[in-house]
Amino acid sequence: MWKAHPDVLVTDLGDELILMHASSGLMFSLNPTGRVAWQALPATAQTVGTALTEAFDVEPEQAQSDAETLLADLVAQGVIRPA
Amino acid sequence: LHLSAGEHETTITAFGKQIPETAWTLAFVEAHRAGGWLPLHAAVLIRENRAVALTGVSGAGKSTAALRLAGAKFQVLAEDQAWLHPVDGRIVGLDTHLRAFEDSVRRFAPHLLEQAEGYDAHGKLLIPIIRWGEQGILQTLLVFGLSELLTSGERVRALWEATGVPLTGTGKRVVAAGVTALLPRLRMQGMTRENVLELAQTYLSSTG
Repeated sequence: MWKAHPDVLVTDLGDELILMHASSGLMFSLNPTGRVAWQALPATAQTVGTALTEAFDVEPEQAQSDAETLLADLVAQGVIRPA
Repeated sequence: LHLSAGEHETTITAFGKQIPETAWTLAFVEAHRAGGWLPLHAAVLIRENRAVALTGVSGAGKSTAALRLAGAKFQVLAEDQAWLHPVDGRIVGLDTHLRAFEDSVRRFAPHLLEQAEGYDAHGKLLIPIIRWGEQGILQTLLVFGLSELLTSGERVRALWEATGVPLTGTGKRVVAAGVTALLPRLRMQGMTRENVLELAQTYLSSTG
């Protein structure tokens, strides 16, 4: 289970989600896929994959793979952490 | 000091009498955030109902620009701190005085010298903000240190930096919603010390 880091400030621009890490000042831009994944949080990788499947025309296996890759990136950037 | 901030009700509970002023300030700022108001670290000028805010890091030149604009007979709504309501754009100044060294006042706004009400702890003249408490509608946010055209990321960063980081979960949710509501309709532009007067005057005078 993953959740947003409490220091992350979120701005939803509709077609783009901008995350700003308040303590480091780093910013990240999420595309529509990342936006759907972010909005599914707190969630497991499986739940995020399901959200991607429901939002986009993508096979469940591909969505699951995309979810795991995305979550790994978000963890590496410090914007999500275990719930 | 204990703060319980909610979108519909915020409670501040004080234990004892030796509570630092900064704790009270933080608590009240958070209470306002929870209630939907964004603190804005900016100098604000107003003409009729139109307001232009000048933001940037401390030392960027907000106060000097405000003084120079006051010298050009524009009204200062806030020197450094204001409250902004993101839903309707209302902006209210928080400062009671414009603070500037006497040399600067003499140079940029000599007509204000006779209004000075003494000095602050840093030796700056205290010039009362005559229209203190008045509201305007914020139409333009000018940002020191950025190029004229801002990317979406620069707009987001500048707005968050001007409003500051909320401390509570409620504050973060409410401010995020406010920033999101403001971004599509707030004119934002980068500026320099050289063109701040021209830009501010243009936007204070424009009807668009």
